[in-house]
Amino acid sequence: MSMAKKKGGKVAEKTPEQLADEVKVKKNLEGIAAKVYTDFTQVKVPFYLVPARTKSNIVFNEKARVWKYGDSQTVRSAKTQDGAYAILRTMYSIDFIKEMIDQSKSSTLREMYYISEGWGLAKFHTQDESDHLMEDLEVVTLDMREDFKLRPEEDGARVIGDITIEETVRSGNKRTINCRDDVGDAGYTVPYNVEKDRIKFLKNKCKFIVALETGGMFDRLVENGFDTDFDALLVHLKGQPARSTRRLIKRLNEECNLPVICFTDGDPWSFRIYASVAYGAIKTAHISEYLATPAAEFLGITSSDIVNYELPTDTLNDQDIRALKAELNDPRFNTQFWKNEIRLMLEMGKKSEQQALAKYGLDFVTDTYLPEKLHEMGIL
Amino acid sequence: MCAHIRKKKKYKRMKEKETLIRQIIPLIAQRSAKIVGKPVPDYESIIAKIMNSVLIDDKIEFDPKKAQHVITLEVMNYTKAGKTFDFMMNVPTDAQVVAVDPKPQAVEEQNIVWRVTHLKMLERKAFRVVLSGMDQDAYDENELYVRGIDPELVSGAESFDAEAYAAKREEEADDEGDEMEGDEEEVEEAGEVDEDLEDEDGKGGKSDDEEG
Repeated sequence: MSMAKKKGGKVAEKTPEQLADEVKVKKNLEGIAAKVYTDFTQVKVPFYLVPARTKSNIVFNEKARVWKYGDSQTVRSAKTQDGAYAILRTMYSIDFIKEMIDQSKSSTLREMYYISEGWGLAKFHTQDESDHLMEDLEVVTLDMREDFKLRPEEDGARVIGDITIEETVRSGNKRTINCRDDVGDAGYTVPYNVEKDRIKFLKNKCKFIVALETGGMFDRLVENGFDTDFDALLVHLKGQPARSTRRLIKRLNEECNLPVICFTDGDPWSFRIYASVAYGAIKTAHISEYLATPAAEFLGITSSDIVNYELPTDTLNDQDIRALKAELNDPRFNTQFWKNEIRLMLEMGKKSEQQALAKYGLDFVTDTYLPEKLHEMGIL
Repeated sequence: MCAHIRKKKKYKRMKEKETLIRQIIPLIAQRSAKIVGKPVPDYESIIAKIMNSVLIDDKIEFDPKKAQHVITLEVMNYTKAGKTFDFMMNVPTDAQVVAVDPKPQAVEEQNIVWRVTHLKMLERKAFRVVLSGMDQDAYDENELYVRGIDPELVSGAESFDAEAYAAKREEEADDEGDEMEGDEEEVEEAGEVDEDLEDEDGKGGKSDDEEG
């Protein structure tokens, strides 16, 4: 039996399943290096193919009801300088990941970027570059970055509601937490790994999930007791949600049969937040079926809300307008509802924030707006 | 002139690419070999395949003690096949050739001609020419030509075209004549410019007075 990394002085043993997974992941990564190596021996310029991660290459997967990458592929070839750099960095990254797996280590994406400082020509110049390459490796191997022993920085997304979970903690022990009664006002912090081997849902009394874009609105709903009054599970998305937050929402939706409502600002960027929760994000379309919750519905702030509730607004800037126009060509927004909403926003030239509802008082959102909208949607 | 600049740019790009590719490709080969646990594969052929060009490098150094320009040239075959062609260097009319190594096959008009035969893939060949009779600044760029090879494959030298070459020499001869006549004009023009400047200074002086 192999040993896993030291946790609080203890050495946790790896299960046979974990060991088998690690062998599979290493084999998949070695496959990329083997392709490059064979190209050399066959006097071919080394290259490998990656699905094109662009808006034009996402197609709707009827079975999973999410948007996934289509058939277009991008070539990373040593023929060009950029391609040669990409392959070099890929080789160094694979070697590093293999080493981590063998040594039962893990690192953050940030550490991965800094580790490359010692790789000479293979070093990454920005963390975006290293993050992007890790996504490439995921797409090519069909493994997840967690399998590569890479984790994001803790992003601190929060959950509050009457659900009891069992979490495996650092020592390997399990603890039971009720996400309403056993937490402070900040709520339960979503860890980066929310898979079944780390988090189990033991008891749920919530009737639906409200996924909130901003911390301000999350705190408002908590202070007003919305979670207890309406049996709601509040999830703070914290802007564009992290993978773990999206994965948790998906698990809650599927395993606890909880409807998911997205409550965001009313601007083009917030529309994209909803799209990534419901349909999958373009850059993680290879794992959409793990992350996206097709049943998630958009509650607001809609363009119509801005009109109907006479909300305070800001004028759309050039970037907003460009983003809205791009969304008109985004296949994820190719429905009558979204086309109408986007066109109305462009027509008005205005956007609004969730917290603009405070115009009618601090309780308006929980006493009037949300109940009205949730009734309309058939949730209440 | 535009074509010349374009070629210089292409040459610069190729040199940068060469530097990078020569560094990156061996590293890819080594690292992929390490990952799969096999010996490092041959990567020189891949470098040639990627570069697919004959690169010509040149350097001019001035020996102040001997008042000589020492020119070193290097031809590198970064193509998959062997290459045979003529490599030529133009010698300025006011220079004397002190040494040429290796011995050229011919001297045509003002051009030293070497026959490069069967330069294999990734093979290099070096040449050296020593010129005297010119001030240091009078010679800072070599005029290099190739003949008998697809010019698209070559970076660092132009394709030799006898007619174009003759026209260029003729043009240069005309220019030299013009320059001789123009020297006096330039002096006159320079004088005029100076007067203009004095005039401007005068205006400036007036404004200074006004401020005072």
